[in-house]
Amino acid sequence: MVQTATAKKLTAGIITLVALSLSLCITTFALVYSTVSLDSNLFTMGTIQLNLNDGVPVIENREIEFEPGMKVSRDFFIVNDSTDSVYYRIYFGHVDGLLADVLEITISNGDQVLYRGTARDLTRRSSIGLDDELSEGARRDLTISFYYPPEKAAYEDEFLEFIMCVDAVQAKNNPNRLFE
Amino acid sequence: MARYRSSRGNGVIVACVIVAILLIISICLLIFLPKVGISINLPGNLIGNPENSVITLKELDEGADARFNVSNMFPGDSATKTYTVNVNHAGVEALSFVAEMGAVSQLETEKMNIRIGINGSKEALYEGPVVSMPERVRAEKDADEDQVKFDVTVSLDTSAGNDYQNKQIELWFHWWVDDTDYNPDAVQNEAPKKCVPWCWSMCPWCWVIPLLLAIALFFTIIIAIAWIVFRGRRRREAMLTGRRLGPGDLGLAALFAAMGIGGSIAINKLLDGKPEKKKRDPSDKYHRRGK
Repeated sequence: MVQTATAKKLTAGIITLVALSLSLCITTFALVYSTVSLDSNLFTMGTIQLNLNDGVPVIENREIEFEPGMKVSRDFFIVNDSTDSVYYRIYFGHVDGLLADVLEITISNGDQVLYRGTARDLTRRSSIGLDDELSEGARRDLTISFYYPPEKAAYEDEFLEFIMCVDAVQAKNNPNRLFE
Repeated sequence: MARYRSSRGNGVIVACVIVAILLIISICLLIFLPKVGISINLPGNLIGNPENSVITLKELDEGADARFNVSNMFPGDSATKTYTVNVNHAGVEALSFVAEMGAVSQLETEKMNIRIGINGSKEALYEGPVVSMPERVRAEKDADEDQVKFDVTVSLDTSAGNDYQNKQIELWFHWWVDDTDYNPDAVQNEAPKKCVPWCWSMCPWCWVIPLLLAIALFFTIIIAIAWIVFRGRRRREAMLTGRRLGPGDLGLAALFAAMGIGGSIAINKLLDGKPEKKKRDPSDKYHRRGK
């Protein structure tokens, strides 16, 4: 019984001693160490985003029955929803149908013709619009027209299907207008 | 034989208590002597230290929002901010700096680069990805130089792709000084701008700290010996004297010593804290640690 009480007192004494020693060590450490910290330095990245004709196709499926000599024009637009100026390029993707080599397509910005040729030839590599810098929030109204040359009447029952694509890239820090 | 051993045990305890009291008295004397004009160890060299810190950030002291925030970053963008670190003690020959990713960061990226330069020098202390930064970047300085300007440039690599769009990266900056950055020999021939525990000059701190360490060591050894001595004899002592000496008395001695140590630190702090203290900005939420 006596032994147990003594052991308890001894334990308490040792624990106190260790705690005191630790406190002293911590105090001593704090005296030789000084630091200043600056938290919450935030770096937020910008965004590149475009609105291409509100997602509506420039020409609807089977909207028009094309006949030789016929020309159809449609307006569409591009809005820069990015947080900075961009360069953009327009091209056709997934072009399908024999009319891809027949219809003469013209894309123009007002009176300025940006492209004239077939749908097949307007690829990512030959894309247009590269020289046009679109500032933040700016809108570009463009026109696309489809002309069926009369001499190609043999393709009357064929079709053309394509995806209109627009790529955008930051104008800042990009003097060579690199998209990749 | 048993009685003799018991007396010896008593003697150790009494000696511990007496030594503790004597040490406390000597510490108090060391602290108060300069105040009553007996000693030349005047604590008057404790001047002009706004935070009692070895280093402070000038931008924080001025109450400005010192955070480095950049929005709308694109690949190739970079931004620079200069921070001025005030060094309030002579003898500090280097400052350490590190930047690390904060918890808010949405990317752990190699594309976020940081460049650290000092005092407008073209030579960088570090230049590369934040995530690859070493644990400390040391900026060497003259021992008596009281300001170091850190030019922190953060840039987003041109190869950063679409994954980085609209993401946020948080960085934490830390500056610090520890004993590896301090050279006491550099201030031997000049009065320290502020008394620091490691200057070993003529001021209470320089006596108190080694003294406290000596006390702690002394009591640790004494108590360890006493414990060993008492351990094998407590039964016989109980039979012969009816009173058990040991843990209680040892605890009391340790308590006296602790009170002396704590009291002397508190008193010294009070004495040191008197000179012109700047008010700290209540909006300052950046944590500081240490003295």
